[in-house]
Amino acid sequence: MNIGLVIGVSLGYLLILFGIAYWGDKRSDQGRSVINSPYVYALSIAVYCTSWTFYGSVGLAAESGIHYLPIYLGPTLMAALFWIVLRKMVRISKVNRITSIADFVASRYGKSQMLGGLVTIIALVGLVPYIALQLRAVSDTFNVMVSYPDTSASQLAHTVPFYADTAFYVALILAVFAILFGTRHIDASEHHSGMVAAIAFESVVKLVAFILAGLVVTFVIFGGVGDLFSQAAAHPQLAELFHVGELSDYGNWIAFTLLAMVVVLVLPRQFQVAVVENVDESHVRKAAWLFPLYLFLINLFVLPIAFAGVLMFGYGEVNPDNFVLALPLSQEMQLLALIVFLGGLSAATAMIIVETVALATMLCNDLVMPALLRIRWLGLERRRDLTRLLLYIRRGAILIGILLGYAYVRVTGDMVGLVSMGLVSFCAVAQFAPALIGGIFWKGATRKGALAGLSAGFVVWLYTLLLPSFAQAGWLPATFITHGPWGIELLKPYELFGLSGLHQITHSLVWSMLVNLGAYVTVSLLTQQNTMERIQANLFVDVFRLSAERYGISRFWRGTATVDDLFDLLKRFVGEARARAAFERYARGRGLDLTQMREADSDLIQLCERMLAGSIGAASARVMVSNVAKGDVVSLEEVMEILDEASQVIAYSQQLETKSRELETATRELRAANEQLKQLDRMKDDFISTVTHELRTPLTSIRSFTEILYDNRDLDPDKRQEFLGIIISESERLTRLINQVLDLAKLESGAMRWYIRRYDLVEVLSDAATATSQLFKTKAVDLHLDLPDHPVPMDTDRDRLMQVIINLLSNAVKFTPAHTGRVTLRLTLLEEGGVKVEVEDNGPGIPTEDLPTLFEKFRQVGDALTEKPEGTGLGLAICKNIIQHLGGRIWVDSQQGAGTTFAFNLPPLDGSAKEDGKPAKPE
Amino acid sequence: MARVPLSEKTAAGKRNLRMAPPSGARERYVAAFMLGLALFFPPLLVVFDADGFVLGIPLLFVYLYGAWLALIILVVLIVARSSHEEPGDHRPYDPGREP
Repeated sequence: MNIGLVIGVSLGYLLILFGIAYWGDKRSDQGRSVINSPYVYALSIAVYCTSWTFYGSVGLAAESGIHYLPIYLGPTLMAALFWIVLRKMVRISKVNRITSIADFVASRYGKSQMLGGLVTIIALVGLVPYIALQLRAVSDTFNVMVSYPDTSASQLAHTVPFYADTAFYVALILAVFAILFGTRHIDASEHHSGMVAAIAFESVVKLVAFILAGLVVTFVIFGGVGDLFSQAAAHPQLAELFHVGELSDYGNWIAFTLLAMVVVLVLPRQFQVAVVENVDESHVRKAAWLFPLYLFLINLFVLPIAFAGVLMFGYGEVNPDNFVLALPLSQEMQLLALIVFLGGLSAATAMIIVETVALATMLCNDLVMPALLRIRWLGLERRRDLTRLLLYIRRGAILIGILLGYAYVRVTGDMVGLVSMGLVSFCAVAQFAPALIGGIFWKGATRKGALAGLSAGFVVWLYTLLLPSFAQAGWLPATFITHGPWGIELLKPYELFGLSGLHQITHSLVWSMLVNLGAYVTVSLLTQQNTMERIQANLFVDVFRLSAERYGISRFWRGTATVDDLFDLLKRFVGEARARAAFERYARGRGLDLTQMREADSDLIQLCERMLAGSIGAASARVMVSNVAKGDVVSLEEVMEILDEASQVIAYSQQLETKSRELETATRELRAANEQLKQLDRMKDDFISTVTHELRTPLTSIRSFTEILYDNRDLDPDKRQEFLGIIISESERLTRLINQVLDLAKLESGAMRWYIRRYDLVEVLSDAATATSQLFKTKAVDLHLDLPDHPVPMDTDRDRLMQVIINLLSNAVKFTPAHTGRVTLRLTLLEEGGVKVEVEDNGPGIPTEDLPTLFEKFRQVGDALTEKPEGTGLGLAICKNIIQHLGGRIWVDSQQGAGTTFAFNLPPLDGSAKEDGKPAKPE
Repeated sequence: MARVPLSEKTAAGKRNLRMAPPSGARERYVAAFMLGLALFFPPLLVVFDADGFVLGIPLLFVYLYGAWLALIILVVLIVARSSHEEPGDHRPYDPGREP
């Protein structure tokens, strides 16, 4: 065919494509996007079908039969899971503003720039063969178009200098178009609506072209399907291709299917069109069957064309990769050939444009810019507008990518079939799959795990696929393949560790996935995540739950705040009632109807901010409101800041709480001590006043009577005797009181002198009873002694003990009624040794509430008969002191109306019986 | 007096359980996936990899393409007839808001 015609038609077609892209962008800027359709979306995903599908499948089918099919069955299987997997990826990308697959992986694992860079490098290296295959296809078919039936040109392509090489010019032209399509301006969201529109158009063109070719070949050149296959059955080599093949072929079948299954998501261009360029999540639903349907249709005639080609040309004359074109040309069908060529051109250009744009984005955002920003002397952070720089970097990246592809074309010549080149790339990008798919379902996946898996898988891929291809090209010695590096047989790149009999691709896939998955899982399990990683993991894996209240995708793209948003936000911090009241007040004040308002105006936003500031502080309020206004999830740095502040405040308030609790305790203790002191003070005052009173009374009596006696010399002798008697008894009383006070003072200060000797208790008790017998007789109270009839020896201080007994007895006498009163003094021996002494009376008893304080100083029980406390109140205190000093315990049992029993016990003799008359031991 | 709109979705969301019940669609998709694996892999693949022709086309090809089409139709049915309600449903897309 005329070379000018071919070039002209091609360039014209490319210009049409460019026009569509331009129109698509224009419409998008106007807000009437053309790509908001599930059909356009599904067709854009069909960029998966490249020259590989258009030409390579036929070539593979001609030699291996059905083995082209797994590459399309895999995506069909994955499409069934689109709603689960792809939709999650889309949602995550919208929520986190993700612009490429490197961005996605980096973001998931704690915003790791290293991961982003690694993914970019793997993508760049891995995609070179893929780009190369497109360039090869276009240039080869161009040569076929121009020089058919002379097929020698394409076979010698790799020997001519590059400036005479069609592929070189193809590369340049495609680079220019890719730059024009994808890098005319920088869009922060990395949307390229025009490009997507053009891609969708190209998908239609290639489908139509291929089906047309298939129909013509099957029904025009041959007599229909049955005719074609029966002819094939007669062909010995073709008949073999009716089956899958050997056992190892089944293995390859499975491997390729699984490979294609993940690749349809992780190829950078697939990620770009399916995730980044997605405008509506619901499109994913339709794509789940539209896309496989497309694959089905475009693969319908692969086998017929392949077999027709073999039947027509045999093996050797025409490269089977070119059958699709050669068949119409052989029949002089120029128009059809042109259509087919355009179809193939569509397939190639679509791939190159989208793939290089995606690569350029990654190279720019995840590799070059981070590196440049680290070089301080460039001062890039200070530059206000970096868009020009970014554009140039991206254009450069596109150019480099395509030229690398061209280089690969030159290196490999025509030794490798198109499909093989593509499969090498598939294996490379498949290394992303564990980190990516694991990342969106497994929270525990760590950055180190992802790094380990990716690096390990990539290294294995390099060793088992890329390096050997260089050996095949002659850059490395051929012995590298046949005998391993330096003769180490176990490390043969195509038969690692002796695993032989596998297709090269399957072999590489098995090892690289083993190492990748193994390292990914193992290292993830063994390492810890830092805070950022943990937050990101949650954001990714739980993305549906976290974005549930935000009405799905479209919310995130709004650039302004809605009334609903602000209300929700405000309500969360100040309560629904207050928020509602505030909004209503605002609406009333301005005469607005908030139900009609979608967007909140700036005044309302300010109001909300102010109200929030009252609850959470001005800085946090600003962050919250501005992020609602951006329609974004609060960014993590801001959340961290808010959390930091909050935790500081919490820590501070906890400290305050502890301090105040301590203060409270101290105050309570102080107060109690104060109370005690006051009580003691009161008691001291009471004591002083009581004692003074008690001292003064007898003194007064003594003085009065003495004065009387002194003044009245001739007083009646009986009267004089009486008065003297009173004086004597009052003096005694005074002496008693002073002694008591002194006793108590001595007892309490420990200055009392004790004389411990062995005495007979019975004797002591009897003596005490005798001493008080007068009291009893005077009041006519019966005193009964209940004492054992044998001596009871005890080491004790006789005087003090007598003091106690006498005190108890005189108390008993005081508080029993006359004539009917009865007091019993009892001594009992205790089982465990020791003795108990009781003084029991049948008086009115002591009220229960007075019992606990009976033995305290100055405690006096009102005499039921006279209601005037008798005595000083010191007696029992002294008794208690003495008994305790002697090693015993004193107590009282009493019930109101049922008498009282005072009792004390004394400890047993210690050691064996001691001699009487032991010298006194002063304390 | 203006009433501040509490959007229906928030109200509805409040009535929903915290844990949304598994969508009918999800399980069906997984089932379709498993079915695909079974159809396209050994042993079924080996069974149909036999000699024979159907309407003049070798059995293997008919089986593979037939099963492929059947799977696609199955997914169509699942998409059409299953509840795709999930938390975080979107509002109808507003073209005026396209970035």
